[in-house]
Amino acid sequence: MNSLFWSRMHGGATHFPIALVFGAACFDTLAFVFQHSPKQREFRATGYWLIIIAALGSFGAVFSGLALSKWTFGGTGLVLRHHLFVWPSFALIVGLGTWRFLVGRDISRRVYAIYLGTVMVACACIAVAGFFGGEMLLAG
Amino acid sequence: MKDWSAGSALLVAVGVSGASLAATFGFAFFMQRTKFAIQLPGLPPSAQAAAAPLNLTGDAAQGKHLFLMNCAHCHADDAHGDEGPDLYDLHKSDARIHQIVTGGIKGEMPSFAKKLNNEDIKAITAFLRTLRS
Repeated sequence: MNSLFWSRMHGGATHFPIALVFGAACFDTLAFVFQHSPKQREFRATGYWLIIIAALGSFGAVFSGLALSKWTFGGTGLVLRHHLFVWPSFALIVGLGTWRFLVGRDISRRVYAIYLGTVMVACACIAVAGFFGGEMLLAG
Repeated sequence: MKDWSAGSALLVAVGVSGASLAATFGFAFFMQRTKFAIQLPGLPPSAQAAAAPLNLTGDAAQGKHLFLMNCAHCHADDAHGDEGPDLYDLHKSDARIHQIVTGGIKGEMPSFAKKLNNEDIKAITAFLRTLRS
């Protein structure tokens, strides 16, 4: 289990929840925009399950990342910049997944809008964290 | 699960989120500080603690900054090597260092040609020249 192993594990483990969160954002946006569509309930249900699975998957991503960085949750340079966006992303994904699990699929339109806005903030944090992560591996 | 109101679910979600972060940081701290951390091959304690204090000026100081920003995550903060090799006591010429930084090493090190210009590489090389064991 060397650095290369953890590097590959982290690459695989992170992209799984990232894709799920972005997928959840897409389906929830569709459900919000097309509120009178017969597909609206399906869009909501898909967004619901995607964010919950993403929240569960984010623990694997964080564990592999910590192992890769020798259990450093700060660091310097690009590692630090990556971590500054990773931790808010992780907190947001876990919080959003938990909240959605508890309230279920049927929520008021106003609350749904706030939820959707928070998912977008999480997506932005993930995108910036991913950018710095990619910078480390690909050097721009 | 439909009995939960949005407000009370929010409180629980914030709690779970905070607890997850705290548990993650606590676990990472435990792995850093205990002997358990070195029982896993390839997972030594953070190299940050071993960073040698250097009084650098000019190019070397700028080079250290660039090194920490671009190279330290593979060569370690103290440049003694991690995923990448130890950079102390380098016997490579300036031209060879420039070539490696700009061209990379296939399968091992990415090219920094788009990210670092000649002045940057010169500064990093000046910093590397200060690394003597």
